Amino acid sequence: MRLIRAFAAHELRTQWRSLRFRVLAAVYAAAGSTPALVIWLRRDPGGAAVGAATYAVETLEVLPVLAAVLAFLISLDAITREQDEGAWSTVSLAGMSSAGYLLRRCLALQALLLPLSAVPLAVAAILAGVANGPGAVPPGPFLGPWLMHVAPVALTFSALAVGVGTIAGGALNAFLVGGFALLLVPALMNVLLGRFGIRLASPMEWLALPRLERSLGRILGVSNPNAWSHSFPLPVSEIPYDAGVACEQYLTRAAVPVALAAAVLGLAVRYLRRTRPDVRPQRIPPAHPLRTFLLTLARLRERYAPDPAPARADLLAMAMALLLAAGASAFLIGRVRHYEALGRMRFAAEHSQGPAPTSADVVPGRWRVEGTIGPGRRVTLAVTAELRNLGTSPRAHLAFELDPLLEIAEARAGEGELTLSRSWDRLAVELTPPIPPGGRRELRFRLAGEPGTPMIAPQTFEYPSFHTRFGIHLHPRFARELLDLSNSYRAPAISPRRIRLAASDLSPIPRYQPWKLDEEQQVVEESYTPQADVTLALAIPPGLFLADSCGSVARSGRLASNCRLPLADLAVLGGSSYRTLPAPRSGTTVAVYPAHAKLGELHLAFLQNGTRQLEEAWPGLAGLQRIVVLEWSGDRIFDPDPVTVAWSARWRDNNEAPLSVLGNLVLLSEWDLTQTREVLKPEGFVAELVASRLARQRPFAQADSLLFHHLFRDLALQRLGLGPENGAAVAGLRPGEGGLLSVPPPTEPNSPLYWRSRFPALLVGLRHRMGEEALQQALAELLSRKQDQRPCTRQELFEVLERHGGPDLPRFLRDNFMEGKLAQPVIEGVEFHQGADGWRVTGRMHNRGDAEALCKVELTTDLGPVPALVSAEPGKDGLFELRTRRRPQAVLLDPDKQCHRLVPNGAPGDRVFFQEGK
Amino acid sequence: MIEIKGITKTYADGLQALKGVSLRLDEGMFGLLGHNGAGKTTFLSILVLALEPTSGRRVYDGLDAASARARATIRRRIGFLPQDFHPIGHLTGREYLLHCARLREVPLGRAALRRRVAELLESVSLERAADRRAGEYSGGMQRRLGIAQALLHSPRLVVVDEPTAGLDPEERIRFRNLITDVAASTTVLLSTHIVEDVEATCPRLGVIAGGRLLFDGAPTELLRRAAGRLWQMPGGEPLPAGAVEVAQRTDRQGGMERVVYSETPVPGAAPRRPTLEESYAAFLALQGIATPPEPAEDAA
Repeated sequence: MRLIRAFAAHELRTQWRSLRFRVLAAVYAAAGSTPALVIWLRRDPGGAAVGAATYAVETLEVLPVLAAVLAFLISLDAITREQDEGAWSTVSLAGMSSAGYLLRRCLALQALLLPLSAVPLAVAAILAGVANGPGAVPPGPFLGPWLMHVAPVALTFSALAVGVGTIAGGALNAFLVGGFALLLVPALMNVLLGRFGIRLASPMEWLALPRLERSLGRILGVSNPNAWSHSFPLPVSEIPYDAGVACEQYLTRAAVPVALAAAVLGLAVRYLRRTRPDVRPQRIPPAHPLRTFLLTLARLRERYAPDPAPARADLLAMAMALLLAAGASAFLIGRVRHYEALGRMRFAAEHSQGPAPTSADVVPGRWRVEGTIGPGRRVTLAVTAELRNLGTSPRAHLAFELDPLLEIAEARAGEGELTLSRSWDRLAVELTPPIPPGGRRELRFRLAGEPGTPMIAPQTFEYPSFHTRFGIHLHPRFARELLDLSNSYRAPAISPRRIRLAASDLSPIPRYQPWKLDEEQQVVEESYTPQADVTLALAIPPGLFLADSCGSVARSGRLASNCRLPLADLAVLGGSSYRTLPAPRSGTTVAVYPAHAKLGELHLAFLQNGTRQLEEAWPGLAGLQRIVVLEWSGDRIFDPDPVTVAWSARWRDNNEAPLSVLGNLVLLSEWDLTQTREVLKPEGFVAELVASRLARQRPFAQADSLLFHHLFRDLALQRLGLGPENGAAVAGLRPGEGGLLSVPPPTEPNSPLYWRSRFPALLVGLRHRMGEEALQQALAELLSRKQDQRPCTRQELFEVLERHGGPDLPRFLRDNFMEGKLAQPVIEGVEFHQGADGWRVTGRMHNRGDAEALCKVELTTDLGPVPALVSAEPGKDGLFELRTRRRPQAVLLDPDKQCHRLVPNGAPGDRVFFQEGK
Repeated sequence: MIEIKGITKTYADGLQALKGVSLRLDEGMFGLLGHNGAGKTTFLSILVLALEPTSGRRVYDGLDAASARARATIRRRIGFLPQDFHPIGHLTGREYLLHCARLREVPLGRAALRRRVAELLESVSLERAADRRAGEYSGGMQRRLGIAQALLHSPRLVVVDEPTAGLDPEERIRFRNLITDVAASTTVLLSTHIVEDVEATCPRLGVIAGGRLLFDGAPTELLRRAAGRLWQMPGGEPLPAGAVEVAQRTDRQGGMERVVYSETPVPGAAPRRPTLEESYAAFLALQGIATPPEPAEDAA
């Protein structure tokens, strides 16, 4: 220790006196602190509250690269300086072993580098404290990434520099050796590993170089108004830090560089050049034409031959270093194999598309989930599930979804035998004897484990579907198509960040939809979700805020509730970081992150009158009692790139709701809650609640669930006065967008233009055609059809609407809903004729679209309008003739915006003004 | 006692620098003379374990350098001032010596170590510059600092390569005194071009040339070999047959004189009492190794 202290003191002294060090350190501190400084100067960027985590994350965008460069250059300078200055021959004349010398130099450098590497984060923390108050700076987001990313990067690149600097014996050559070690060796390794189906990411990915580039672009964009200028900073989630997950993510990325640095440092022990080796001489004849070249080669050979007679300590250190390198490689390959095995299981399950689903005749009855959450990430659960056979045939086969990370400790049937087979998240149960028609069977499961989601080779932009990605990995044409499975990680359901126990994390959930793959190779989601009488009784660790989808909140270490609810909506959510706001009159519980308490009170003040608004939007729905509103940070809280997550969050479609609903749980997005310039619109909240509650009244077919969700939500919004600006008319489109709207209501959510621009207008048109009362009756009938428990489809909706609508409604539904056609009427050929008995105005409504146009044409006069309803088939004209005694003013097409039509850009063709003499 | 046996060294490019050098060093001063390229630096590097010989043995107080374990101990016992010595420029002279002391694990407490460093700095006349950065020292000051670091840990073997190069006459004398004191209890190997330094300090010297140790004995032995065989003759006259020129020098009148070695009297030449330098030059000349004749003032 005494020697290490001496080395450290020496390093501090010499580096501090070195101009090179001072310049590098100043550049590092300034560049590393720039993001935090810019955030602090901007204060309220883009109208969103910026918390401490944003200061930390934006700083960490640039810090790994900077720390690596700083550590490499300073360490290289330190290790080569004595040789460059000619002091080495005397300095090396010490009794210590070469390994001891190198190790101590390395450690001494860390005494300098590690505190220095933390300076920008310390600056960021101080600025965050100044901006938000010292209490609003949790240490996790600063300390965690520094400990697990920045400091290891500095340590590794310092060790690498000491190693390559020693081997190369000079700074310039060290860059060559470093490049070889960091780029060529991993590439060669991948060639070798590719034969075994393994590919590891480049060690440079650990530095996240593209993030530095991205960050620079965003920071520079601040002063240059463009899209990027609004992207710095990107407020990230203030959700607490989970060191365990971060450790898995960071350590995995660190493994290759650490292995390389260890190997290089180990080799460097033999290259300290305390004793120049004796190498076999090469006799070069004096007249040899390549004599100079060969002499140079001979000298290089001597220069790069390892030191002779290594001490035992040196050999031991080399063995340890190589062991560490091998250990890191084995750790990585072990992880690859582990996640490959999981991936294969999942892929095989998805590929088989089995087992057969549960018959829709078998529905859940009483469903009791008891157990304990904790300790740590563990759950222990006992599920008692009652299944009823409503059909006419006996049913022996059942299929369930269950978290693949949960183990089934015991499974038995209340009566008879039960045979289980499991494949990934699928559970097949064969009952002996079968459940007779009209009978019921109780199943009991004891489950234990750490629920979560294995993120196997996390999603890439090119191949969003796991099945596609992994399929390519299993059958690659080129080695580069292999996935780096070591980057996989486990996103736990129970984490210091939050607790998110979904239905299949708590119980096997009956599966009625076949496990088919859709067009994008994703497993189709369950669409048939019959309700069950759910009883939940969970013991939870103290200090946690937890709520379930029945609307209960944990008290005294216990979460207990009882309600009727679709099993798929069963969830227990919360965490250690929630703070409940004072209860509003409506009886709603609101829990937000402590840093957002004030914003929560601001945005959710409307809940005081929430029940009245809910009644206004859709009469007959229950109030807001037992509703729990939780601030929610989305599903990607474990994503190692929080800036991208924040970027994605801000580009949510305007028409998308800021919340999602699971039973009585309302998950309010953190992004919306942190907005400072616009207060959350209560109508959106209420409409989403309406859609959710109506959707719970009947199961909907998976392909049509989106249609029904938008139908209920947009109707609620329109009733609250937030209909589309242009009524039933579709206007304000960009060139080429019209074609994207001439489709039936899409079945998948990635059609924002349709749901934003056409569907609300279509609903306005429908309401006008049917009348409000008839539409209400039709929907009431649709939702009350519960007798057969079959999922509701769009065909059923159209059939009910047709019955309740007028004679022209079937054509409207067929054209616009079923075939996705769209009318595009314009008025043409308008003529104003003055006669003895007044004015006669004639013209035609030409329909350029492919749906029938049935629109009002109105002649305006100073005494009032003269209307006419005009119909035009696609491509045809509908003639109109309007008469008035008064002087005409204009002819208007669809002045009330009740006719569902496309308004062409530039020349809307919907009005002709009367001009004297023409 | 240090015993060097049959050391040879051939570099990778085929240059044979040492050809079987054997030497036994006891306590006291040993001067090593040799012209440029004679193999002195190679020999010293091998002696201080900075270079691996091609063959031969090195034994230090019974410790064989072939053993990796023994090397650590041997290194601790060696003090070395290389020919191209440079201190760590960012450190002051004092800090540099303290750093070297810590590296070499000098078994002294903090205060004692500081005293030891101060004494050494004083002995090399650097006490006033002790707290200046060593990078700012002149060449002579750096060499003096180098001498101090070589003696810092009280080594059993001190190897100094051209220690007085760049020192002024006063400093040279101080160095000689210092090294003579050290040699009372230590083996000191002094490698130099300056024969005067060897003459003043070394009771024993070696002459190395062409990679071989050609002479190992007392300076008087070298003088004895030249005694009665050196002659001085006018500069303009031709060299007689059988004579070898040892040196050229200016006489008191400013004319050129030649000092020649000849077994027999040279007609017209006066006998000359040899200095050690002339004896050394004569010795080399007789081996067929030319040393560049350097004009020197006649000290006689």
